[in-house]
Amino acid sequence: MVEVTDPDEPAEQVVGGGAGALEESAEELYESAPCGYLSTRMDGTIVRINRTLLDWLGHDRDELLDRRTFQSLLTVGGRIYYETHFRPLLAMQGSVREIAVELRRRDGSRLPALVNSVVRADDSGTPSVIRTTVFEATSRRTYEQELLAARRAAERSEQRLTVLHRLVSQLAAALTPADIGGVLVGPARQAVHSVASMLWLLVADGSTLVRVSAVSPAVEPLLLRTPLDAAMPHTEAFRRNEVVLLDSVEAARRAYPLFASMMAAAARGAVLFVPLAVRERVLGVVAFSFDRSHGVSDDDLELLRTAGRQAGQALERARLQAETTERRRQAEFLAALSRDLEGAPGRRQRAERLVASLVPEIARWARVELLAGHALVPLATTGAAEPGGSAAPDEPVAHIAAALAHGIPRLAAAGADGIAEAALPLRAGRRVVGVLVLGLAGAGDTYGLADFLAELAESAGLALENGRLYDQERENAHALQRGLLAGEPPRDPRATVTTFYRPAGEDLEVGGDWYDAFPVGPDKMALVVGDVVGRGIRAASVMGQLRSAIRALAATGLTPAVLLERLDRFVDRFDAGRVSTVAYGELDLSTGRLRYACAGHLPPLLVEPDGSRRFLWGGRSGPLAAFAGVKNRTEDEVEMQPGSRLLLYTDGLIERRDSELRDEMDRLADEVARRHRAPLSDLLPDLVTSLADRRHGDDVCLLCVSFGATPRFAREVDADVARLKGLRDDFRTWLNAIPMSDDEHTALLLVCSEAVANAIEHGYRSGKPGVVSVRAELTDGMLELTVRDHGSWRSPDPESDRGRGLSLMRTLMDRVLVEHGAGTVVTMRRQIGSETAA
Amino acid sequence: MTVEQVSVGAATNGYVAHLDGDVDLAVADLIEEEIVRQTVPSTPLVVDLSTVSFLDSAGVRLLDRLVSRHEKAGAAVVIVAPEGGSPRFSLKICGFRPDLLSDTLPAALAAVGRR
Repeated sequence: MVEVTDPDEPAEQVVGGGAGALEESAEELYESAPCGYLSTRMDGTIVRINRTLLDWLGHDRDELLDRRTFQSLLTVGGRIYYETHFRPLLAMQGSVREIAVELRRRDGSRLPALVNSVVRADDSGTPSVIRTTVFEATSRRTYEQELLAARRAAERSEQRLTVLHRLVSQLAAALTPADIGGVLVGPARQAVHSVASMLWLLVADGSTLVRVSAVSPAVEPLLLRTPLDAAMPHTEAFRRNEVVLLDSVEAARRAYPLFASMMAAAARGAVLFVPLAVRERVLGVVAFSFDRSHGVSDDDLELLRTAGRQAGQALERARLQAETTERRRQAEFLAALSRDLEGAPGRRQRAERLVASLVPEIARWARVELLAGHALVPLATTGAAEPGGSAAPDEPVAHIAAALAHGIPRLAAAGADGIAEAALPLRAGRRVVGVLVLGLAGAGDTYGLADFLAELAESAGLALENGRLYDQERENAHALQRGLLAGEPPRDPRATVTTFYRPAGEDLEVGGDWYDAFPVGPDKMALVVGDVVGRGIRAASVMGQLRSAIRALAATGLTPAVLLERLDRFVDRFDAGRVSTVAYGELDLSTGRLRYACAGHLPPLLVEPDGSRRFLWGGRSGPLAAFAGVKNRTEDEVEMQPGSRLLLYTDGLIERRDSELRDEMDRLADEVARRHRAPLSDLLPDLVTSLADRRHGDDVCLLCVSFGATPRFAREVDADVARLKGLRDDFRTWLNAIPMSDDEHTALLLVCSEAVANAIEHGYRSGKPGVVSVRAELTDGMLELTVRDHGSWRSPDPESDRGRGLSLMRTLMDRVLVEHGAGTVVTMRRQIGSETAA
Repeated sequence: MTVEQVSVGAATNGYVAHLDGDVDLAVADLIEEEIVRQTVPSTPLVVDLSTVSFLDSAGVRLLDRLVSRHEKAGAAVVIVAPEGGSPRFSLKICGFRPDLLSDTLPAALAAVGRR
């Protein structure tokens, strides 16, 4: 039984209970309690304190008793707390519990403690003493602090995780290296409190680090493009695949003096380089700058390493994406190019189309050159540079020679302008026949360049070779056709034959139109125009067979209708040339009688010397050996007057999509009639120019025979010196019909030409179109020649010496009369047949 | 058209310019240009008109200028224009120096070599 009376009384109480050795007095219990006891007056003065607390505090009893207050044992903060919380609470509640304070030991150190206090009142109820228990809380404080530290660390970790998550999700969403760069120089930089950052990526050919994005622009070019072997911290980070930290300018200067000076110039205190890698493969480096010497915490380093790995993966993804896109683009380009080139006919056209497609989409310039012996001959070129422009002048063609020798595309080193020349060998089968030279910008940055160039070389080579084969076949067909159409028209003074042939178009095959004129016996001339169905070499060879067959048949003296019947049988038997059309006529040169027949062909056009004209609609029947055609062959007859003209033609001359054939035939008749006084050799080209629609894509084939000579020669000639020859030919033909000496013939021809030349030169001012009229008539042995123009005559310019022409005329003619009026008329006369030389 | 009408070659004694077809006002200047381009005034020149079907005063003028060009440089010029042909006629009528004319190409080449 323990009776505890007022503990303030230092009573000697024996606490019994059989404990024996555990016998402790209340005093003992008090003094050496495991906690501190303290009693103070209401003002805090210490009136009693136990041994434990004294030991804790390191004070002696008499230093404190009645001398110090409780609050003076507290730290400053504790004292404030004492006044603001402790005392009021105590006053209000009468007790306080578990107040955490710090006591100051005698040696000045702090003692964390927990304090409980209770107010005791005296007998009268007035508060008289505060009893306080003090529990040492050092370990608890430590524990609290550890908890706090742990909590802060956990918060930081969580923050970092959040940052990392955000970074990772941003990187996952980044599609291009620029996006990735944005994540790194933005959020990541901020996460580590860096003031600036820079990102380098490896270029496609793996040789250089190229700066992609930066918060602050760098001026040093070496920082923009850094070869991997340069002594720079970022290349070091790249090579080692490890973080490089330059924590001060001095540290940097030891290994990277150049970079250190850049750091100092930018006032950076520390720079951290983090490689961006996927497993072992480094794709880039990011640098974070700090504005003073900075120790980077392990947590930050770990964060950045993780970010680096994530960014590396994102970069890899972006690179694959870019590469896939680039390859697809290349494949599409090559496919489109192939299609495009197939659309061009011959080799030169394909070469031109090739270089046009390549520039500027793929290259700055492009040229195709073909091997001719040891030299290279340009075939097509486009783009800015001159050949060999970018390469050094003393080594212009090393890569070209290598490409030609080995048959593999070669890329020369880029010149100062960053443009590298690529030489792509062009093959025909196994042989290298030429080279395609390209000026490529950014060659090092292009994915899959080698594959692309190899495929381009192959495509181009194939297309050009096919173009060459096309050219060759076309040339063969044309040669065949030219051979078939070759040969001079028969020469006979009684009739003049002119022909005209224009193939459909440069890019179409040869057609099946042909003309022919040949003598049949001494007095007859056969005239043929035909049209074989189809195009190409086959049509040309069929045309040749028909031509020969007609000639052979004509030689047996058949009339036109019978000839066509035989021709039907020929075509039927050899099954070649079915449904071809032919217009066949035989002109008796002694009488002017024309017998003709048309097998499905357009009717010939007859023009009289006075200009009246008509189509010859007789003798019509179906095309050759046509199953559905009119088989009964008929023929018709017509008289050609001296000076008349007969025109045979194929439908290429007049057929048009947008108008009626009949209307076009009328138009043809008008145009021919209009030119009935035009020199014969000019007639056909002029007709074609005014009638034939170039767009129609059909051959134009014409034959015109001029029969006999009118007693009076009448021609109208465009005032163009190019027309002189045609006029002379017609005049010569007319003169041929008149008996005269060779000298007279020559003289008259010369005079006529000079007179017309004069009229062209002097009669019309340049640019104003005009016509020169020529008339000649033989009356009683006297030939009168008249040349008239309707312009204003310029007097002979001594410099141009055209005066010689006039004096020549005066020498050779008996009389020359020049009259000026609304135009000028030069009339000349000469007696013919008297054998007097001029 | 003009390119087919003139072809210039070298012989032992000098150049030979073969003309063909009609040499008239329409083509004279172009033919002259072509001959001048391919020859040197100080080298003798033979102009062969054997296959020329017609020669007008413009053609005569072109020959006149060629003669002037070469003779001033000390070289001889001979024109081949067979008798009876149209070019010969025109040249005679225009009073061309007979010593400049020859009937055949070999004779012209020999003549040019002598001078």
